[in-house]
Amino acid sequence: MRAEWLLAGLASGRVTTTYPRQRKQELSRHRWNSVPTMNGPCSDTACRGCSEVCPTEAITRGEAYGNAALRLDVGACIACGRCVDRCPEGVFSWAEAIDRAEVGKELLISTMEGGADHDG
Amino acid sequence: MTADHGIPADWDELEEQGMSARLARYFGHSLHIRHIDVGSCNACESEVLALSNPYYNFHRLGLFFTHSPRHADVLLVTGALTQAMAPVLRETYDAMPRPRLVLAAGVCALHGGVFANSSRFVGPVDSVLPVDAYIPGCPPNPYALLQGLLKAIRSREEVKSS
Repeated sequence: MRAEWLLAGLASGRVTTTYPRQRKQELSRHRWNSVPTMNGPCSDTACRGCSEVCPTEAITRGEAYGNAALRLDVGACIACGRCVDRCPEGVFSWAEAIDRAEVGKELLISTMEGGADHDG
Repeated sequence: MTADHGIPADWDELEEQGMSARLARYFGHSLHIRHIDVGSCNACESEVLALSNPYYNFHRLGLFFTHSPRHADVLLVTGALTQAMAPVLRETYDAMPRPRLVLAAGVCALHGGVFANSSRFVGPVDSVLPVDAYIPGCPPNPYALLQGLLKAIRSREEVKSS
């Protein structure tokens, strides 16, 4: 009985991840929702849906950042996913890179205004 | 900025050797991490402890947890900094030998998250200590914790060489 368990364990190979080597392969094995990203500019200047549903004010928009501008602070995002569900234009989606970390706090903030993407 | 955030798509053998050399130069072949919880909900702790399980197995990179800040190279801070823990965090940092790195992990340590408006919340960790890497996520997954650590070591090297 024990020998069977041992043989089965040895036959199934290693389970340890090779990260950070083969990073893309390792990350693509998981479909986790870690942080959202912005796909493109928002055309509806009157809509405030995303900033209204955001519980930690990670998403802000309005006059301070231009009329249609969006500002997403990933450092304040608790990954509730309400913006992803709420936005009718699909501006927000879950990031592919689930291992995001930065050396500066300002690198976690991305803004988007009127078609041009000012990431970082 | 690309979606890969400046890290090569495939961490090839050369990068691996470079990182090993950096670890050896600055921290003597191994890196010891002191984890401190300054007011967390334990979701971040769950992810931090997953680093040492057989799947993530961060010992293969020469990384270890230590219980004493006097043995630590890295201070890993999780949770929303409360008034009661602010002096403790400062003492822990002061007890660490140089060079020392500070990682802020989780949205509570970076910004406050859902506790940002609490009366007992002091502020983000970088208002108290110099932070080398910011790891977002609620909670950050173990890959992000490793990425933050590797980026912090690399950025410290850039500062040193400039």
